[in-house]
Amino acid sequence: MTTISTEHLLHALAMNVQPVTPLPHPTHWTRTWILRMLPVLVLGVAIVTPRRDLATRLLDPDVALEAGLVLLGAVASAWSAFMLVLPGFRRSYHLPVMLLPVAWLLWRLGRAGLAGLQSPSDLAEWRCFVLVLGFALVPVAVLVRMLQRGAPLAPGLTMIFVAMAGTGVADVAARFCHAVESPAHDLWHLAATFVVLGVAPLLAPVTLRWRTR
Amino acid sequence: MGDPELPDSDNLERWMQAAQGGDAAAYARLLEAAVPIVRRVVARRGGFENAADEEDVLQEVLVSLHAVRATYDPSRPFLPWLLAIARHRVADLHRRHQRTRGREVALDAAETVGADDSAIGHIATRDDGERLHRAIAALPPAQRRAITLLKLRELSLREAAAESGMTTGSLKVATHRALATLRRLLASTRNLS
Repeated sequence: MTTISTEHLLHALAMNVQPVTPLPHPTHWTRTWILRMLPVLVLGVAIVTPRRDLATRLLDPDVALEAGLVLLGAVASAWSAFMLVLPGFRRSYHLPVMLLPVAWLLWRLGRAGLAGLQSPSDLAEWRCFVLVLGFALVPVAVLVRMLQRGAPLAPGLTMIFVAMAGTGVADVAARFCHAVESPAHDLWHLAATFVVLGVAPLLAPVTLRWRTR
Repeated sequence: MGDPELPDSDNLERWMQAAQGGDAAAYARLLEAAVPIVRRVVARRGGFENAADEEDVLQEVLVSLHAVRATYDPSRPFLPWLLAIARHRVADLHRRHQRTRGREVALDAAETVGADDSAIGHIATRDDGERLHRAIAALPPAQRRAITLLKLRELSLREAAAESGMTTGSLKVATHRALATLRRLLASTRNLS
């Protein structure tokens, strides 16, 4: 019920206006996100212990390409999440960037499904699931904290991109810690991804809310 | 822009930039210019029961706009920014309004407004106007308003809604609660006496 006239409200808002710094462009914001979460993630990998042949593995073009594409998908997801909390951007223009991580996720799902079916005994590698969830915590938390400064125009969708960004980075970090490669790793990584993807939008009403001041 | 009712786009952008720097006068001008635009978005959406509800939504949008003013990029046009906030916020509030209204109409009018007058009736026959007066004065404001309009002044639900700015659903709920509170209050004072 109206308790104050609109005229009074306008006056009160204008009289209490404080200087604010405009939020940066999504590209700049994405860069800040990478710089903030990367040190913590590197520390996490160091604590869990990276695989011994990590340097050699990274020189393998296939491995480097795959890790690069997963990270690119994560960065595109973070960019999309930032774009969604900045009003005035035309989403249709940025649809290719928003669809990139989705397409990549589906491709990985198909490939992992095949690998899982071919060697079902490897499904005992459930620790990967926990590892991805643990590694996803930092990038997700940093991203949510940054997004809370924006306008939650589409909180559910924004949280889906947050989940894709966080689990993408976590996926690569977890790969750095596996002692050996197993085809079922992908399945567990994707299972963790889908758990986070399922939970994230449910948290949207709590994490991304309209502020009143 | 092409719409004679809208202020010049350059002005809006200049005022918004100044407002981000803390200029109260520019911000006041900007908000005044934004009100008719937001009001139009609210009206176009529809589904709000009366003018008071629409005014509430308008005010909530203005408060939201104020809270996220840092999200405006001075190098971009102002109107798409304003409209994005207004449309999303109005849609949110509309959904919330529908949910609230859904809960309110679950109570039957006959059950809430006319059914249990015994608390007042009992007092009236005892001619204890002062006790009733005190009990009504002790009610929360919304309940007091509802009981005064519907029971003491005997207005219809529609008339009471128009006068109070409350929805008919809110009035029914407030009346129901007021009668329950009055019953409790009067029973306790009777026990004391």
